[in-house]
Amino acid sequence: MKTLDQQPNTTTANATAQAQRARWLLYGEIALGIGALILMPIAIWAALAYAPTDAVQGDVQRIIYVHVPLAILPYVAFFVVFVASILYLWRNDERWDMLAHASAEVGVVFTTLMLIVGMLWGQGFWGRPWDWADPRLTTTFILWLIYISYLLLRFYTGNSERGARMAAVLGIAGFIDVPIVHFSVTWWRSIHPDTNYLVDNGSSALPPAATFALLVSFVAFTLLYVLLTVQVYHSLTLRRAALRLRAEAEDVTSES
Amino acid sequence: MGYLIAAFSVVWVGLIAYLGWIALRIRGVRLELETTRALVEEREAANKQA
Amino acid sequence: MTASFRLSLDQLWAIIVKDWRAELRARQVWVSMGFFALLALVVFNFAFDLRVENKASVGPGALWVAFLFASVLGLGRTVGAELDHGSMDRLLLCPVDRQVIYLAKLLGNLVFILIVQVVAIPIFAVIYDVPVLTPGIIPIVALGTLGIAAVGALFAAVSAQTHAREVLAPLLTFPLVIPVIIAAVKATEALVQPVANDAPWLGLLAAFAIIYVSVGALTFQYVVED
Repeated sequence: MKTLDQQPNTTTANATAQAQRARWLLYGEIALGIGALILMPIAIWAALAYAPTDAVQGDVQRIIYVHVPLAILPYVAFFVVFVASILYLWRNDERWDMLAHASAEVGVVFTTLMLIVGMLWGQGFWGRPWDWADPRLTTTFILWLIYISYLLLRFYTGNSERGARMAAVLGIAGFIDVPIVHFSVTWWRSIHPDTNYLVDNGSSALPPAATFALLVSFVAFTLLYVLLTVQVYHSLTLRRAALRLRAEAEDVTSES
Repeated sequence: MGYLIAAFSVVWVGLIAYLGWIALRIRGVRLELETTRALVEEREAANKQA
Repeated sequence: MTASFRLSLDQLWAIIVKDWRAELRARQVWVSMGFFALLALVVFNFAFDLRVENKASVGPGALWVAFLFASVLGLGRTVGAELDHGSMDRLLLCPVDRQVIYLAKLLGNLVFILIVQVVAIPIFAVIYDVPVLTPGIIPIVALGTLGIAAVGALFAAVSAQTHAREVLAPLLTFPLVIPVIIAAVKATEALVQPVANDAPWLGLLAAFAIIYVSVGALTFQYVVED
């Protein structure tokens, strides 16, 4: 709550700086929105029409063009949460806290969609939606649980500064867990030989058209991740501004 | 093929719903900000009169 | 050994002794914790209908779930309640490093959980008829419990300061300690039915404990201070 401590004569300068920042945020949102709007139809077209039909899996394989970006981006999002949490505890600047919050939320949304899409693909190709033996699936699921608990913690602590610090601690502790979870779930089932068929389904040698589709889709989803994060961040800044103003209003009434 | 359609529609419905929810939240918070601002001005005016 | 390190050790010991005294005199969380663990084992016995053919694979799981629940429950009552009642505030006013406070709370609680386990494991071995009473169980239980307690103590302190209190502590702790549960159950299973080329579960438990004791010691200050 740095701005509350500042003297009245600097608040106007601060307000113009904030307005400047809000304007840049808006320009960024518009640019990202246009970019995503152009790339997304291309990505969908490439995934559904341009890429060749998989010889083994048939059309179900086209799910991977959304599944893979949705699976990789949560790791990026949660890494952003991790870094922003450290920076928040270190620098005590609330912007890092809001970035961590926004990125965690978008990460959870992407992970949720990825899990649903993955289950549909599993049902279509393996004949069953879920398999605990696939370490990537299990790791991502546990990751999802950790960040759901992160959002719950944020929900329960509201907008307090202490709550932000506690969430930062969870954001750090949660990301450090990722490699440990991955090792444990890999070793957990790797002893059973009958589950190896899931680990790789022979998609290593993709034809160039498929690689192109995957690449476009990945770029489009990355733009979407940045756009959504910026938007959530934007809503959080507005929320803080409203709360701060309300606190000031209460100060005014208590003084009179 | 049915799974492909289901997957794509889940992703797009989900993402659009999320975008809409964010837009609603931003609008709600903006409204809150405006009302609070009006409240503050009202009170300041009242203080000056008193 | 530097003077400041020795001072920290003295402070650590002083806090642990103070907590033990209070615990032995009044609160007796460890009695209810032990009884809870026992009850959980009884409930699992009926829930899974343990018979000769599946007890070796289900038994260790039941044991560790009982320990996990009992630990989180106990840590909520000690670390959490302390923050709730404000006795932590007085401790924070003392010129003691926050790392030392965290380690003292962790080690003090660890001893109580280990006492509970020393009683519970023989009972488990007898009523489930699973031969786990070998020296090999000692490092598994010690490292596994240290890992659970390191995460549990940190998030017991977190959840005590929210509106959700007791509910939130397991929600925050369980997802993070899943690797500990996997590793501890698998290592305990290997004691009952040795597995060839087993994964390095003890190494995983040790790594988890070291990492999360460090994370807890470094971040505890941000959780408890105003």
